Amino acid sequence: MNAGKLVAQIAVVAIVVYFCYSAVATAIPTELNDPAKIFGPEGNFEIQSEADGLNMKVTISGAVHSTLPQDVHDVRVQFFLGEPNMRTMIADEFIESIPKGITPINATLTIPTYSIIAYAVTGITEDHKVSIPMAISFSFKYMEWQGTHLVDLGMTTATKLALASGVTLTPEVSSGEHGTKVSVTVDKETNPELIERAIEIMGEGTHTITVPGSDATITIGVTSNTDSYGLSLEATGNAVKNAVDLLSEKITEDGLTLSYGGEEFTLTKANAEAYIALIQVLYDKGVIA
Amino acid sequence: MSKAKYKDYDYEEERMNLSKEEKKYLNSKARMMKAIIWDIVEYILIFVIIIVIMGYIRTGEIANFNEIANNLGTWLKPGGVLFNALVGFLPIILLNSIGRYFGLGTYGRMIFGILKCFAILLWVYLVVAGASNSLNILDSVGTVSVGDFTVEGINFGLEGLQKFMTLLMLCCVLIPIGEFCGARKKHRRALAKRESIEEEKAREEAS
Repeated sequence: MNAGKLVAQIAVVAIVVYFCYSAVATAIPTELNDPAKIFGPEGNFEIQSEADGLNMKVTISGAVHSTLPQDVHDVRVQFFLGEPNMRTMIADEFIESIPKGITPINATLTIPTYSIIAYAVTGITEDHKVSIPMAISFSFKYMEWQGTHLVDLGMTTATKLALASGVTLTPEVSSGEHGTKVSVTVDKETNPELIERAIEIMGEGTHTITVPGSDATITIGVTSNTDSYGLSLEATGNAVKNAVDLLSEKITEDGLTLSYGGEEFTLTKANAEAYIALIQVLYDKGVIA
Repeated sequence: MSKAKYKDYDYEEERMNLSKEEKKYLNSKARMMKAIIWDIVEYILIFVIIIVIMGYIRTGEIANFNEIANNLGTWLKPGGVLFNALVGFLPIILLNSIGRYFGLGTYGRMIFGILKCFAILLWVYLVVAGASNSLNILDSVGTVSVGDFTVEGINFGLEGLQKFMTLLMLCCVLIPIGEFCGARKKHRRALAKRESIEEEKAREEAS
């Protein structure tokens, strides 16, 4: 029996228990029996979508309620489209703190229509379905203790968003130099909502995206028949290089500037890289002229 | 010459030999070797258990030995968090077992005990949190899928944990100090006894 060791151990346990208690007791709600009451959405979220140039702008507004005794800090939600190595960020919402009570949430998602069409054309599977890989990244901090947060969690989950079924793909010969063209027909009976919405925003006809100071062009063709939609995507380069190389040359730290209908818009660097990766898939699937 | 039949306390035996209890308070190389061997066996067991748990997280079933062997290479890739953490923990284990050479109540035992607390702290700061201030626990496992739903990463921020571990380890320094204070007297007594036994033996040999 070592009395000195015992006293020291009791002292250590007492200090640690005190600090744990002071951190946890102030952060844990007293009523734990109903998780939905502790944190959750307040009513329904309102979702509105509108056209914004070539993009589909989705506004989500609503509120969350919290009965947690402390504020939830640094809440960040990010939405991505695409596979892990070629992700397009479509939303990045940061809320500094969610206090006890009701906090209104307003989030904006900018879904690039040109990307959706690119997925619709390139992401076809053997069973004639098209889906978009989607990822949600969520993080928050909680349980304040001595100036830091003991709970600091982040999580990234990915799933596949079904876009349409009953899709048939036909590679076509591109008319341009170093070009590739792929077209698909989407059966109207399968109700491809997101594609319908994208077509609604873009309108039927041919849409040409050009790159200022470069020969690369991307042409999106949209047609609506009685029982199907026809979508086509064509990328052309110049006499020497294909569109992927030309687009890659134009990427800077600020991103990539594209031009559509006389108006210029800029993609962020990560989003531009993801788009170029999609064009690369187009070259892999199509017949290269 | 009659043997004392009911005698269960041999004064001579007690006086001329160190008891098991008393040996704890004296330095011992044999105890150190034993500690090193046991600690290494324990370390290997922990290694294997972690691999089995990781295999379970990844596939949802306990893997057989061949699979464990195959996955060792991919999961414990050098530079990965798990590899760094496990390899970085080895010096702490060795420090602990080398400290066992010293008997209870010696300065050596106390200093090694204090050093161990700081070594664990250093391990938390340099190895676990060295690369970034957040730890992706799926870093070594890859992704976990449930149907169409994939969990790609779970991140733990380490700032709070670091602060908490600092407090905990600084408190734990008290334990070897307390142990030293409590065992000092018995250590001195054991030393004196060993000395007197040696003197007695020398006297017997001389006579």
